[in-house]
Amino acid sequence: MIFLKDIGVFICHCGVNISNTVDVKKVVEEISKLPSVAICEDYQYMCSDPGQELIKRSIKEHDLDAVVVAACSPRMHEPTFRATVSDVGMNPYCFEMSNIREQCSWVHHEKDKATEKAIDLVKSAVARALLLEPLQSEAFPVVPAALVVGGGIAGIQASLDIANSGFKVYLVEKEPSIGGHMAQFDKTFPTLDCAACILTPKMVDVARHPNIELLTYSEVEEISGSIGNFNVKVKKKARYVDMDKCTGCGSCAESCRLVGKIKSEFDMGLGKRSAIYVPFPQAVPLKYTIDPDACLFIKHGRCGKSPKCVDACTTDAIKFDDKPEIVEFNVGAIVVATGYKEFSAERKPEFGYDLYSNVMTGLELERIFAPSGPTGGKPIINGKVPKKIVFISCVGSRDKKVGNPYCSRVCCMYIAKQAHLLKEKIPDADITVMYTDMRSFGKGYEEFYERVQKEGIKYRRGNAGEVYEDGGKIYVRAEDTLLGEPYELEADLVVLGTGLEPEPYAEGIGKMLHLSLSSDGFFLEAHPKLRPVDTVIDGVFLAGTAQGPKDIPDTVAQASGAAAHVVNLISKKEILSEPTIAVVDEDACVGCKTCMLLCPFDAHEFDEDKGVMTINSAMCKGCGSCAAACPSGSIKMNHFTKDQIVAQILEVL
Amino acid sequence: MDEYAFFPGCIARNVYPGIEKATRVVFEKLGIGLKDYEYSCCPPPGVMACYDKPSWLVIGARNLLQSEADGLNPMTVCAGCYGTLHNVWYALQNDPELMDFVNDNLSRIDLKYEGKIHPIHFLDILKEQRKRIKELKEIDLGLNVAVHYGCHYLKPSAVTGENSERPDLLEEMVKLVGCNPVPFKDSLSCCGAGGGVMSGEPDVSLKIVNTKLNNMQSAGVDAIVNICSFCHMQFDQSQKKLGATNIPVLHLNQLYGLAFGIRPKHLALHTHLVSTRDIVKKVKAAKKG
Amino acid sequence: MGKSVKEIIMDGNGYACIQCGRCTGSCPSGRECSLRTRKLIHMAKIGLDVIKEDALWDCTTCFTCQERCPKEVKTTDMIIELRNLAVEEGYLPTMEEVPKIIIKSLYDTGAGQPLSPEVSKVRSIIGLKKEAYDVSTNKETLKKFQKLLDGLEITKKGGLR
Repeated sequence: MIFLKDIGVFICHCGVNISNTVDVKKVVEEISKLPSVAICEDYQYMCSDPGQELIKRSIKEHDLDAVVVAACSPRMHEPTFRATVSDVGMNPYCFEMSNIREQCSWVHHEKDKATEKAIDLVKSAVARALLLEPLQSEAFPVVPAALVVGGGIAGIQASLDIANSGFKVYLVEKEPSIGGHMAQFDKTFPTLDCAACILTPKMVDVARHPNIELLTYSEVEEISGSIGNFNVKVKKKARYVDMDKCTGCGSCAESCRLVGKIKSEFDMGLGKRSAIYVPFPQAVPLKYTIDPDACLFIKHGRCGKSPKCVDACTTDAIKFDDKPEIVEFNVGAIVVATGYKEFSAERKPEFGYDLYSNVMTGLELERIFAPSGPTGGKPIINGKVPKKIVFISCVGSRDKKVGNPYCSRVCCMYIAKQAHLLKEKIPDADITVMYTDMRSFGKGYEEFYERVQKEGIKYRRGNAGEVYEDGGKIYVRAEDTLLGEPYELEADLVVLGTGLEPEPYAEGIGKMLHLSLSSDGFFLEAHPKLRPVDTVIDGVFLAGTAQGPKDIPDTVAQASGAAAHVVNLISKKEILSEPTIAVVDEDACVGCKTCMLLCPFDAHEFDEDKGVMTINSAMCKGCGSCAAACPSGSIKMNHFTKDQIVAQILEVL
Repeated sequence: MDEYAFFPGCIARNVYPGIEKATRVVFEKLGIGLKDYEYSCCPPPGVMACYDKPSWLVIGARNLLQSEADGLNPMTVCAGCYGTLHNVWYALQNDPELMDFVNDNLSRIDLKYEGKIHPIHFLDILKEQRKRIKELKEIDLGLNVAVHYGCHYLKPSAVTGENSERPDLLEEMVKLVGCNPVPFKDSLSCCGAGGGVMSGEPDVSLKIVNTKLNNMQSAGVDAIVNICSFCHMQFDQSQKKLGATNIPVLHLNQLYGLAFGIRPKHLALHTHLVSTRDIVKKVKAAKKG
Repeated sequence: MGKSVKEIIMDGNGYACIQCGRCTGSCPSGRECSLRTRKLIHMAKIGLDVIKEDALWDCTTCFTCQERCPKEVKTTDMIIELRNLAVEEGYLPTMEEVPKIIIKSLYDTGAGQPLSPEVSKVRSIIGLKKEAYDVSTNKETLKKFQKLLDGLEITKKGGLR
């Protein structure tokens, strides 16, 4: 039912972007003839100050009920003009935008036809404007707390920034200690800072911070709710050690029957640990954990006459009856900082990682370098100090064959760093880097590359074709593309510059939060250029390599960026929701739940008492799937009602 | 009874007929039928595809269609023929325009290729016959062998579905008859004959096979066992030309023939350029022992 | 059908090549002669006369490079198709008579490697038919086969017409 409203229509020239193809004056002439159009004006740049003033003045002078602006895409300036009309008291949802630029002047050449089309487009916008209804946003309270998933450098940085702003942070980490992959590194490029030295102070800050609740050896089980109010359930896995009593003295691990028998994950399988362990000596928290898959007592119910750890512990901290515990809390925002996983080198069989023990990955070599690693920092590979070393770049990156077409960004630099460290420890080593490209893009990176070459490390362009063994020796074949000659090098050590892949554990978190992935498998940001820390799920942010491969400086910067967005959100007492969402007409709804099955955002719930569906206005993103499918037509899309859309269509037919 | 259209290829018919004979005998013993058709040269994926790929597709399709009426899949004993028949089949399955081009030509001689049958290499049939092979084995040959797959059986893996970097089927199959597959340097490397190189660039071909033969020799083997008539010819003929090594060459079906107790003469082993006398002696000794 | 170099590159994903060199690094022929697969792809992409390169004929089409290419460039397929073009323009392998002999044999007898009297004898000794049952057994079938070949480029390229 249409009753007469006064519509104001404003046609923009957009400089010459529109007026070069569309005869704006003609459009004004035709639109002015429509009975419901009280005023129709044109202007060079409607989004500019004078342009907006024109709109505001007209609204007041003509007592307009709705406004149509015919200009660029609503994705550009709908928010701008909504703000303009709100300024003078018009409900922003009584504003309609007609795109006569991207959808008309920019894609057509014939002026007559383009003008005709522009007129049709504006007419249909007016038809819709007549049916627009004022809508009100709903206000939701915001819980002034945040969840950070992942305790690597990204999670640590984000947690500290949020906590320092005065808000409570729950930092959940699945390993027994925070620190992530950075804790495994020896030195970082290009400054050669000791990773542990710059990381551990931050780790300790996290542990000491009154605003941070650290939940290590824990996993997020369930997340429900929406921006401003997420309900989170976390499972604290059983450590079999009383955290309050454990002093981190280590006597238990020394005396464990399985000491030196179990491959240490932190050491990439190169070092050994006991069944009761800390992943590394500077672990935070410095509390021991029992590996239930290794511990004899837990697996078989007995450990010799009595468990040695129990005998050794002076504070009686071992508790074999430990059970996992579920903790539940609410937060207003979530940061996903789940990190990465190193590419599995056995997926490139031509490099012989699965066959030859002298072929290692970058992360494995890093543990050899680390003073707390399996060789105490000495460059000993299989009992010998290597003299002939070959690095192979781009292993598992820039490689469609293994499904990773992207560049992992850090390998060129970490190879340079590792080559340098090897040269430092083994001055007479003969080191060659077989590379495809040299990506030294960051601050100090190019200079570091030059330094490394100065130290005598040879860079030969041309990635390796294969690694083979003959007579007990390893050889690497490649073409030196700059010489145009195939060659092969004998090697005591081959280091594969393995790339980064998304952390598999993150998949569960992604599903819980309805996060999208980009084609490379990492979490998708809201906009690749302008919103790198946001996701399309309001209230959920990304930090670090969870969003894509990057180095430590970029990780820290992004983590602080995510923290700023979090603080921005949770420092508000309440937030307004978008009213352009789905609404259920309870009288028409039969409770068939079709909508619930379709909703990608889990916004529907069945009200048992009333027997009808309800929609959580905070979670609904207004996609329209439910409204289209509803068999009884009882779902209405605010601001995109059937009547409004049909009116638009009828006008252009 | 399992039955296949037998595609021997030119080498097994006209140069090393011992391979054709061995195939017929082995498959008869296995109880698998082989039917003959009016096949032409596959044609070679080397000379023919490289000179004119469209012609190669047409001639290959003409071969493929021969057994369509009977619904029998063609079986190859040469990885080169397999490279042609399987890749022609694959290309025509996936490109209707190419199929039209091929059939436009075939229609000139009243033939049509439907794409209904599926070419298969004999190794893929033998791998399903492990039990029967063990039963038929009369002699544990006890030979140290260098196995050679031949490139076109394994690659391109997107078409063949094989593991081109770590295959182990042929090693397993020679073990079934008591042979020991000896690892050697660059065991998956090409024999150097393909791509028209044997005919067009014989110097390069000899260089490549020479390196491979030296690697096999260094590992200390009694024989080379292959699943490709073309590689078979390359190894046998080139050793004569190079004069550096003298490793007897056996097609897998000839090896199985020996293990099944067939007389070496009936497998035409006496006609090889590199004498097979030593192997024959070893096999005789193994028979007695 | 005759593809142009541009079409060969497009069909073979050649534009994706980053010149990493893994192809040449894996090539069994390149170790023994001057074949540089990577360079051939580069030449094709930048419009140099790759079909004139002698090394184009040194590839045994073993497909190792195509297996290992991280950008899924169909290196071997491209070389095969570039060879088609090379033959059209008269750039042939070193021993150019030998492929011609094979093509003629294919036309005359249906087999690239014809049957010699000696091998025929061996066939009967080992219990096979003197001559294999194939396209040349029946005269009519062979005639039809030759008619098929008459309409194909291969007979032109082989110098038969």
